[in-house]
Amino acid sequence: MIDDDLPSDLRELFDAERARDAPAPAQKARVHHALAASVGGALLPPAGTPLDGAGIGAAAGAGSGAGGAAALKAAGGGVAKVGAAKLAAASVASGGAAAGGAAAGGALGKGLAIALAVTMAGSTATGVYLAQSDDQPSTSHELRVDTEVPPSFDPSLLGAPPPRVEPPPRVEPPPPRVEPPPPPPVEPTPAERAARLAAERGLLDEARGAVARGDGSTALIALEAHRAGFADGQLVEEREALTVLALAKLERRDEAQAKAQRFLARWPTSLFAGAVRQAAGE
Amino acid sequence: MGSSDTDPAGHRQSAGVQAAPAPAARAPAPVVTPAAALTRPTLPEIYEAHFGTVWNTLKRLGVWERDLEDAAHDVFLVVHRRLCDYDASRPIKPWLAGIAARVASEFRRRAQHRREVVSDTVDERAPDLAPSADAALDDKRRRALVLRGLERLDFERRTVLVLHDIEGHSMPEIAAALEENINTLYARLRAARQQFAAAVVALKGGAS
Repeated sequence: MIDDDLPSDLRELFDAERARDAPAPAQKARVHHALAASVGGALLPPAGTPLDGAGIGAAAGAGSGAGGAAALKAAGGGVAKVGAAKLAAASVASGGAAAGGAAAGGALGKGLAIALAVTMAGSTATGVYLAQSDDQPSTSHELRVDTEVPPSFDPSLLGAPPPRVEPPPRVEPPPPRVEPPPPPPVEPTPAERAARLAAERGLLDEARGAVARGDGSTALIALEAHRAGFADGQLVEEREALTVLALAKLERRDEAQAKAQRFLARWPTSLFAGAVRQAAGE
Repeated sequence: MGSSDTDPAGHRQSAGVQAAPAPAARAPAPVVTPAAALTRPTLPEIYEAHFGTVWNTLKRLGVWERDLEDAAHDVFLVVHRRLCDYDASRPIKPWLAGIAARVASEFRRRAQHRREVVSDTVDERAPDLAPSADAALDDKRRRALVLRGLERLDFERRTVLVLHDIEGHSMPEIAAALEENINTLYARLRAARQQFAAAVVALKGGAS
């Protein structure tokens, strides 16, 4: 055994090295801050970071000037609050369109509120948008509610269970395009695709974590944020699977089953099919 | 800090991609079971649980003190991107260590471009290892000696010594994380130990 070959004097040195202290909290916090800027909403603030009331930082798209920002209120009502909003890295600046960046915040662990800021393409209106999206830390901004709703927005998922099956989440355009991102006719660069994917991944990570905790409503908020920002995203299949799981966690069985049926019709050979069937109780 | 400089997206992405090209090349369409995919830990969970470990791994692998924050940032950025490839049924620590090794390699390469060869993490004076009444001080000196000794090893030997002898990963885990042949790694570990032991002797001799 190679481990027996280690001389005792070296072993003593290595034992000492193994007991090296953890890095300083300030270092951990600084890296966290930088990382949050790079990955959008995929990071919650580190423990011990002072937060204001119900919310934590959401991100603002730093991409183009076009578009608005969508923010989704928590199922429990109340105003989502936006704290520090610094997001540069996850943004995509492709000719004034594309999703700029997305962040999910709002003390997700407690399911209080989530705010999502996504710059939308062109004149596409968004349901709810931030009154301000500058980067003043620890300030709260109330949300204004617009009457127009993006085609992919599915409010029934956030409110009380609707009595009937909700309409399909979006109207599928005829399928000529190869590239999923809708806005520009220009093909996105690999870096832009990667940034979009990172933003998508962040939201679905939040949703998955919430599902794992049994917190279906928080999961639905993150999923709805993904639906609003990335209707034709690269991770739609995973989003829809997680939606079924989240609905099942909330014991909204009819909706879960309806969603599951649509999911299985669209992706019959999905890797998630088994989990979806199980969640829907089929 | 550096990571919030201009063009963080482009810079960080290129760093991340360079740091861990192998998994992307090998697994363009990751096959992960649904259960594993849906119960995978999230980035915040991984960050909270493993930041300190990643940090110390980077330090042991010779990333400069002043680069540690940027390197740690890059490790977790790669984690973020590769999380969809990660099989949650396997232990996460060796996976993280493999990413840290690639990032550390990249930072050392950059440091060499800057013609800065000697790590600034290490006190130039060889530590005095004569026993003292203060056990904590003794350990601190031992750690300084370890970093000094590791500086004498090339990066590949240093990596396997750090990951196995110090951090306790099994050789099969390391082979999987680094995507290297396990027999090669065993041979490298033996050579690394010999070289490290000789370095320690030399450093102690120089100190007394």
